[in-house]
Amino acid sequence: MAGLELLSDEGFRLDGRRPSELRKIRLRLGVFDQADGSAYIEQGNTKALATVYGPHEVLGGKGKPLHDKVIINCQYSMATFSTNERKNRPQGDRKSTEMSLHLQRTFEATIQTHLYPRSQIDIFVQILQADGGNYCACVNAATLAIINAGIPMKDYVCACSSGYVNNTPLTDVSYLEESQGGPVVTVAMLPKSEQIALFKMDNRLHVDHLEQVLEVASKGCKDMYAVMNAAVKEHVSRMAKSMECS
Amino acid sequence: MAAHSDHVKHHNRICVPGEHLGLESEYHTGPGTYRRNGSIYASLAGHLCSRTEVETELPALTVLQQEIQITVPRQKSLVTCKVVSITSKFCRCDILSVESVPLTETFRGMIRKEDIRATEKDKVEVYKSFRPGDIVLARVLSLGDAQSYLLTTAENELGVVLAKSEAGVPMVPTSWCEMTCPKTHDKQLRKVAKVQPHYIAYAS
Amino acid sequence: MAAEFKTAQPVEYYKQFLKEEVRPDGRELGEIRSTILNVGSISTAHGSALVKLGNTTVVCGIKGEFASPTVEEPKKGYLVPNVDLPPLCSAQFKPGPPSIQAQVTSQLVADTLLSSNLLNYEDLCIKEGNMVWVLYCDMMCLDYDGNIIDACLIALLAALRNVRLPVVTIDEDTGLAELSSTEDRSLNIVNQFAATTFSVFDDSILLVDPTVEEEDLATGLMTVIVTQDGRLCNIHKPGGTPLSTDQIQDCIGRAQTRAKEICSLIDDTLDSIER
Repeated sequence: MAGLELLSDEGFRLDGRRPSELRKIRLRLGVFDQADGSAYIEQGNTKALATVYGPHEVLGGKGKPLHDKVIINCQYSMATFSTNERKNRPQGDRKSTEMSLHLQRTFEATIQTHLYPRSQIDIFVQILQADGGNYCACVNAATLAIINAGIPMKDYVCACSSGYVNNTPLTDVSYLEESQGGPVVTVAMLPKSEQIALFKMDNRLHVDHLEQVLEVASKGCKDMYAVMNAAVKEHVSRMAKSMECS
Repeated sequence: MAAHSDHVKHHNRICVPGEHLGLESEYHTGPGTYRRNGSIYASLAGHLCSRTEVETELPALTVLQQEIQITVPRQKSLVTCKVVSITSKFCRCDILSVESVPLTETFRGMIRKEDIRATEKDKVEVYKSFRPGDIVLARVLSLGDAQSYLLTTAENELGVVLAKSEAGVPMVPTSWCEMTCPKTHDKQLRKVAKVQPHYIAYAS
Repeated sequence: MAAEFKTAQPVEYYKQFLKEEVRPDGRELGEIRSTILNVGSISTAHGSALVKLGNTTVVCGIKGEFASPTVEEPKKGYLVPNVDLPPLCSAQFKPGPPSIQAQVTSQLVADTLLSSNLLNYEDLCIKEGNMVWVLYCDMMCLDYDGNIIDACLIALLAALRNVRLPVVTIDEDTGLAELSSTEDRSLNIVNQFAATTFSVFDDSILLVDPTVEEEDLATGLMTVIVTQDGRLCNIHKPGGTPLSTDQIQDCIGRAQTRAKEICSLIDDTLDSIER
């Protein structure tokens, strides 16, 4: 392992977490008024924002309306001040295009696309501060925004990453752990039906370890699901109360 | 519709997408639910309720949302639209609301000359029926081409509900095909809707 | 059914309210929406601020970078403001190159910075004629509900006052810059300013702090930017309904009061953070 000791002898990580511990999560639904659905999520120091517009008419440019299902359009963008080095282009570079495509594929798998033929749903995600696990934060935020918008989907999509250091799998890797060159596995999962919507891996990992790492990642997804679920239920009951009051 | 749903049972339960609600042998799927492998699951976050429309049938499970349900124009839905432009063959309009739910973004619609009225279709002239700026009540005929929804006003209750004269005041309908400006007493031709109170409320 | 009336005849809908001297959101004609400010929430930026003006939300992040100064002004660093209105913030903005409105707002902010004498640009000098700080001020709208200029300027001001730049020393032998990881300094803001936007409804009624609906219906818009001590900094009135000198004077008066409020809001927020 280069330079940094990611896992101390006592079994703690650099930020004091245990290997299977998620970072502190803070989230909120319905943060903005203009969007049909919106959500904000903080996973440790990674802060992401998602808004959903639609279903609306398919507007010129790229997509042609599909006669049997809705077009899902995702745009991933990183604020210029979100990283340590200033980013010159918030979106449109290869990395963001790849992210956008991953997000689009992930949500095509879960949104009930056949309900809104010839329409389009826009999902915009914005990273305000990046500290590893950007894709995960985006997926989680987008799921909450879609629920907030009231767009029917089969299940939640929860995403979590995991790494592998010193024969120990780590959950929810931070930027520091990501950038050390070890393997990182990102999984987006439908937690109720235990299906995997997206699986992505960076760097090499021995096949024998894959199962272990995957298990940790899906455990992370389920933990994430518990937190998101509690927030959604709370939001729904709060909305119900405010309706009764008015 | 409301008259039939006399057996609505609210299960005091909040459900979230992907949550298992019941078996297909016990319930039907209603809005906000879907079926998979013989079971019914929620696809929205909200309150669960089951509704029996006919005694002999199974109750339908529905997930009710607090926030306004999103709407898109569907076939046969009643829409309010604003005329944008007219040609000799058709009239283009923006759909503003569907079944009296306002849309946040408009959809494009088109009323063809032959869909303007039900009788004497060959004598219809678009410019004698609509002018840009009119508010029109119409029904969605079909999803049309890729560009727009096809609408029709070929019913007595459908047509122009609000039109402004050149003086800028709303005109008063004087017959099914004519409106008069109360200020200048100028007469203009329109395909006027026979306003039904339960269709529309602001026309008066 | 009020909702239907509003979509079909927005102007008449507004007139009904304005006759009673109130606005549909319950405000009086001259009332400004509540302003909430949060400073320093983004730790990857050198300075940051988030402003909520009613529903309008703008986040401003400032990143400092090294650059060479111009030959004419070898001691001066510079600010590069940029306003972004991404499709995320409203359905009216589409993906693609920056909209005209975003570019106009960016330019207005740049002009105001230039003319306002906000800070002493020589503070940004690291080595004369060789290296200066350039501060990229990116303002991004997250929720667009009108009056973007006011919100952007509050965010910009608060973020600039939040800026902590690491102290730089230049190694005499190698000529390389070294950042101190322990020492940092803030900027010396000399002259603060704030904007107040007015919209003209139906060629006659002046509304302060318009929402997006009011902006769409407006027959004219005007933004008055004044400094903390009440001096006029910039007036932006892009055409529209002509206004009389008296009306403009009145607007300037109101903008002066507003500028004081905003500056004390920024002061209070920064104080509460430091404590």
